[in-house]
Amino acid sequence: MSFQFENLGQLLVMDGHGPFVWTAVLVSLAVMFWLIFKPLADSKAAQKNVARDIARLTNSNGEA
Amino acid sequence: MNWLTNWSPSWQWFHRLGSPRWFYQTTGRWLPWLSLLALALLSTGLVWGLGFAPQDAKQGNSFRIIYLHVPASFLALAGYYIMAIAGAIGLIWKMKLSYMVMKSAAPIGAVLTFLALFTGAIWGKPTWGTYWVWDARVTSMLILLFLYLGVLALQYAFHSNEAGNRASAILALVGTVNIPIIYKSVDWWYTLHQPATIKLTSAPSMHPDMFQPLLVMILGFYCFYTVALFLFTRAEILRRERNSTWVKELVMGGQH
Amino acid sequence: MSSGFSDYLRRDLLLALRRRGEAASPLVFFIMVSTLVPLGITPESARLAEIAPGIIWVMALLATLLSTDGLFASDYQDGSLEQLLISPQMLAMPLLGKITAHWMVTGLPLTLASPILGVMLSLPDEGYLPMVASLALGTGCLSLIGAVGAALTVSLRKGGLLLSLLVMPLYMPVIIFGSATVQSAIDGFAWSGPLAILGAMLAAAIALCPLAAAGGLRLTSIN
Repeated sequence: MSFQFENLGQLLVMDGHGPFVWTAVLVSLAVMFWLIFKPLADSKAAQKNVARDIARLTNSNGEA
Repeated sequence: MNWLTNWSPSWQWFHRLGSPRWFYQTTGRWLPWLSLLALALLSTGLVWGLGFAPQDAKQGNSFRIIYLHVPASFLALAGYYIMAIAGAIGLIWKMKLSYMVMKSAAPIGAVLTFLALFTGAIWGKPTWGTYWVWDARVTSMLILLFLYLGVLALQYAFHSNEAGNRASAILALVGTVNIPIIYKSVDWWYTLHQPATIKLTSAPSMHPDMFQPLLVMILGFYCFYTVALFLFTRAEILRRERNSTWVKELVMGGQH
Repeated sequence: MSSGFSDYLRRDLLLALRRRGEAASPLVFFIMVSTLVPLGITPESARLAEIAPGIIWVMALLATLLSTDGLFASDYQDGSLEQLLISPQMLAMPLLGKITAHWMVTGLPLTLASPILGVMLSLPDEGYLPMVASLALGTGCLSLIGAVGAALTVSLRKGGLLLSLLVMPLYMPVIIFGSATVQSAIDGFAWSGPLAILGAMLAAAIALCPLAAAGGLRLTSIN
């Protein structure tokens, strides 16, 4: 199995099919990144909320 | 449903399985390895498929989109069954955690279904001259997207409560029963209107050199799906269990 | 055993009779909206004839969808649904009675009115009997499947549009075979095949949908 293209430039062009293939790749990667970073961001936000709750409770001298 | 609950096992491990805390801690240990595995499989498969697999005799290089389209389609369908099974477990054993997994599976599956449709459309243009064609597989995938959107809409409308979980679970199960019916109906409908059937979206019978990277990509997508499902469920756990001691300790301890 | 069935069938029919205007609106919708087709597409007889089976079926589906929201709505609002839920009898039979009443008030009139639309949309002669037959069986399926969606959304405030979203994918096999029944007949093929499949769908729906709707009502209408 060998590299199918003459050089990296040809890899981008893909005999004219380049825009299609690379659009598909880029959109897929974008979507997959979102599927990872959205829940991570949500987790951070949830933790921030909990921290805020704790801070609110301890500031009135001791937790509930 | 009572007869089913009475039959349910009360094994300790099974109930521990239902503990959100256990899930959070265990997945926390697994995630680094699983993510690494997913990354390795996906990058290997993608580089292999895009750069090293031979091009298709008829379709040329556009066929390389298959390395994204097929795995996404597999996971889109598998994800629906995962969502439905999680819903069923939640209904039968009244397991909170199972409902959380179900809720997490919905957006992931919907997004992957959209991706399958999108990559399929992009593939269609250079190959068959059109972005969209109403053939059996594309139409079935579109209906699957609608099924996902229905579950998401129902979850959203109920604002996260017990009734909403049950409604979504029931809808997911109703959808599961219907998926084979829908697929068969659409298949039949398509052959009715296209008697000289040229199977437009059938995968070309594949040379091993083309198939192997596909296999790697499928495995990679399964790992990726698991990672995403774990991450979404963990976020949901932190949201719902915010008042519990272990979450508070977790946040105080400054862990992720 | 069937006492729940006939009681609720009679009850809902009586209620519908008292609100005759409301009950007639799906039918009026059906006819009016089918007029949009020549206006929006073409008045040419030949072209209308090509698309008539599908158009009539789509319109029937939309009209049914409009009315399904009301299946449990008024009972939910005045508390009689809750009464039904706490009663000891099997919920599926009364529900089947309600759904049958709903069909008799919406699906059946649509089915009987379809020849009129056939005339307006230049439906070929061979299509009339299959149209009525497929609509008779198909609208029954639509009412039953719609009931499951209505059960899941009954406690939501703006449940109507959501109900349409939920139920639409489940309606698609029905319309596929319903429309195909008519089209096969027009094209000169045997139309008993798709019709039989519609019949099978109806049988399965009668067996399963009341149970699913009952479960849905029990589990989701009490928050």
